[in-house]
Parts: sequence; C-alpha cells; structure tokens
Amino acid sequence: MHTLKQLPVYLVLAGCLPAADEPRPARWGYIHAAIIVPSCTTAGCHSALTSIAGINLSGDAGAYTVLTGHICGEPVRPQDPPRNYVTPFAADASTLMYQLRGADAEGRPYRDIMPPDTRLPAVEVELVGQWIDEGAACD
Amino acid sequence: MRLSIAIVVCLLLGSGAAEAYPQFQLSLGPDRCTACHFSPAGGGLINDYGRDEAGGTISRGGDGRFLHGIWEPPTWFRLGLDLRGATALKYQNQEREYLVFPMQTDLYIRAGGESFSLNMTAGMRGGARDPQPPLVERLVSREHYVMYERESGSYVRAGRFFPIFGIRSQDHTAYVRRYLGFHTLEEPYGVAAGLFGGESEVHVSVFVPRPIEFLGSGVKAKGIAAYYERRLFDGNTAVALQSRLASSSTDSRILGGVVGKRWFPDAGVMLLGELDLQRQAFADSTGPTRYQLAAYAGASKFLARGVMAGVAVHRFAPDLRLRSARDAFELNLQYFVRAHVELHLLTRISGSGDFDDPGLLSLLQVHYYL
Repeated sequence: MHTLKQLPVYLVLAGCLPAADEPRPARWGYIHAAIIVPSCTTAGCHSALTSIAGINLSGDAGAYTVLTGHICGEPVRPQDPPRNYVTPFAADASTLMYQLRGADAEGRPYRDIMPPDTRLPAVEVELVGQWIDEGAACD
Repeated sequence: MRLSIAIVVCLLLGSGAAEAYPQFQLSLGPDRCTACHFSPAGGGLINDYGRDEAGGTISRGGDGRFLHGIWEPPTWFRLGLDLRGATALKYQNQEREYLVFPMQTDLYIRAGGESFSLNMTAGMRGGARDPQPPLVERLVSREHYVMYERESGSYVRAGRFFPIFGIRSQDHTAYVRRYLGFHTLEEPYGVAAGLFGGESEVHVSVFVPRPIEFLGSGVKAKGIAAYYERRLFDGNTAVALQSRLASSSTDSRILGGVVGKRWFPDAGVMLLGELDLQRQAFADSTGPTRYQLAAYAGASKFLARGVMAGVAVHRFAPDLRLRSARDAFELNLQYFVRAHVELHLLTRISGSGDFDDPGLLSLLQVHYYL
C-alpha cells in the first residue's frame, strides 16, 4: 500500500535518482547532519539560541558531548559507565532511544518523547540505534 | 495500532511570524502581497489599504487603523504590533497536560518615504517550557532591512529577511517551511530585488548566514533564491516556479519547486499548493546524496464574513529512497472577530512512515494586532 502511494513520486524522479546502492552510514557526522539538525535544532528547541533544557544540539561536536557525555575524539569503551543520553554499545540501555521510540527497553511508554510533534521515521531511529550499538563513535 | 498523542510545543515556541494569509491573495481582490503589506513578501506591517480591508472585508467589522484610529502616526513613521498567545491540550503516552503560553510579541517599525525606508521587526521569543530565560535574552529581531522602491513596481532591499519563496504560509510549522529553511528565526541576511508587473512578479535573493549564532537558528547557509509568479485566468489563478541553491559547511542543496493558487469565486473556495524537490549533498563524503520532497496542498472557504475554514495536507520525505515520509492532515478554523482580533483553532494529525503512530496537535491561538 505504501509503495503504491509513493509510486507517482518514484515515477517522476526515476530519471534523476541515483541507485540506492550506497548505504547510509551509521556514523555520527551523517546522523547529526541528516537527522539531528533538521529534526531537533529548530529555534524553539535545541538550537544554540534556545537550548531547551540546556541542550544545544546545533554543533556536531557539542551535540556529541551532550548526548554521550564523551568528548568528541576520546576513545569510547564498552566498559565505560553510562553517562548522558547515549550508552555506547547498548542502544536498548540508552535514554535517547527511549525518547525516540516513546518506549523503554521493556516496551513501557516513555513520557519524554522526542521530537514532541512528529516522531522520527522508524528508519531514522534504527540508524541511530545502529550507531549506538556500534560504539557511538564521534566519526 | 498504538496511538500516542503528542503535540507541538517546542515548535511553537519561537516568535511566530504573523505573516499574511496567502488565502487572501486573489480571493479578496488583491493579486499581490504588497496591496496590503509594506513588505514585498507580505506579512508584518499592514499598509492603509490593508487596514481598511481588515475591518471592511476580512473581519466582522471595526476600525483597522493603528490604535483603532485613536491616533495616527505620521506617514513617514509607521507602527504595528502583534501579540499572540496560545492554549493547548497535550496528550502524551496517555498523560494529559494543559498549556498556556505566549507565542509572539512583535513590534513593527517602518521609517521613511515612498522610496527609501528602514524596516524592522523586533520582539520577544515566546516560550512554553520552564525555566524561561530572562526577558533581555528573549529579545530578537527577525527582520531588519533597508529598501528602495519605485512606483513602477520594482524594489531592492538589503538586510535580514526571508527570500520570497513558496506559499509563504503564516504557519512556520508547515512542512514546506519547517524543513526547507524557512522556520522560525531562520531568516538569513542578504540582498534582494524584485519586479511586480501587471500579471506577474519576479524576485531574486542572494543570502549569507547570520553573522552571530544567537541571532537565530537553522543551517547557516549562503546561496541564491528565485521566484517567478504569473497570474492567469482573469486573475483567479497564480502559478509560480521557484529555485534555491544553498551551501553550508555541512551540505549543499539544490531545490526546485512549483506553487499554485486557484480561487473559485462561485464556490468561494481557495486552493493552495506547493511541491518542492531538493537534492542534498553532504560535505566531506559524510553520507550519500539524498533527494527530498516537501509538499503542501490546502483548501479554504469563507463560510461567512470573518469566518474561514480550511483543510490542508503536508508531506515531507527526507530521503525519497527510504520509507521515511512524514505526513500531516490539518483542519483550521479562523474567526476574525473584529479588526485587530483573531481566533485560530488548528488541529493537526501527523505521523511518519505507515502512519501507525500518529500524533495530535490541537491549538487555539488568540491574536491581537495594532
């Protein structure tokens, strides 16, 4: 059904879209630019201007530190204790994933959903989860 | 299907621009924004004709002049004020919360004559979440520019403003604004020129990032935007082509789009549509180039004088190769009680992917302007 709805768009763009053979990287640089910035850093939310709850996600290095508790570039090890919103190597133990999914690891509703208006598409949440499971490096 | 009902809160925090309603173009007679507004983009400060229309045709009556006509500023110094507050009901994971918060406090100033003018919009950012920053930190100026106009219909302006682009909805959360660089306080700095003809208008803007981070938000890009609109069929239809090239430290974007407006006088129905396609290439091979789509389609009807109802559909697909589209369906009911006073009830259902986890926004705005 969903494919049928998308069909006109695909037909129009069929001539100009590249082949979908290049996977999206589960890397912080891409996640920040492609997911975090357009979804989280608007004026009233986590921009440098507003920094709701003291959280500024507009810069990639700063956002990385806010979310992981690590300085961008320092080594992240599996034995490190959990810090902020991201627990490296453990998406299911990361608060950020609870917020994005709206549920904790046991499936119980999580109150502090982000973004608060329109939830991120599942493919975006999965990519964030993959990045965390792979170590949440600042690459 | 699990239904979690969430509401836009933070998205509505900014000093939402009290811009013109694009539904008024064509339907109420004027074929261009400058018929009622000083700005070539529409929105903001209203001119004498616009103030007459505010009380004469748009609302249920009243005196649309500044301060309700109690005092008229000199013609070289125009003033206006927008105050907007909102109340909302929030459901999130079966928890209910009521919100009342300020949305907008904007002062408009235009100083100058018919040719040269200095224009500024300044106010305070709204806020629904605590802790609120001190008032002085909430002061912000969305627009400030100098403009030279000629009676023939051309203009040049320089300063801070949005390039003329798209349907220019007053709703900064509309997907064609929110996801394409036209959200609250994302105005760049730049130089623009335009020409209004009898049945067409064209605008070109060159823009650069804001020089200070705390002047706004959004991607800090430089680029160029162009918009060409032509009116057809006895002035009841307008079609526009637009393009925008933008480059930042993280990406480059090439956007092409079309805007359509159609007024059906017999039915009293106004149709508005916008479709944009954008190619986004990331810098430093951060990730694969992606193609994005943003679309808006809406219909509005004047049920009675001062009462406008509308429906709209929004779509944003951040990567057309993926099942990642976000959709929204909304109902709008606007009651222009008297000149200067408006009530706006917006109800929007939005979701992503297969729409199996939608959210609900229901927001009542009270808008007063001088």
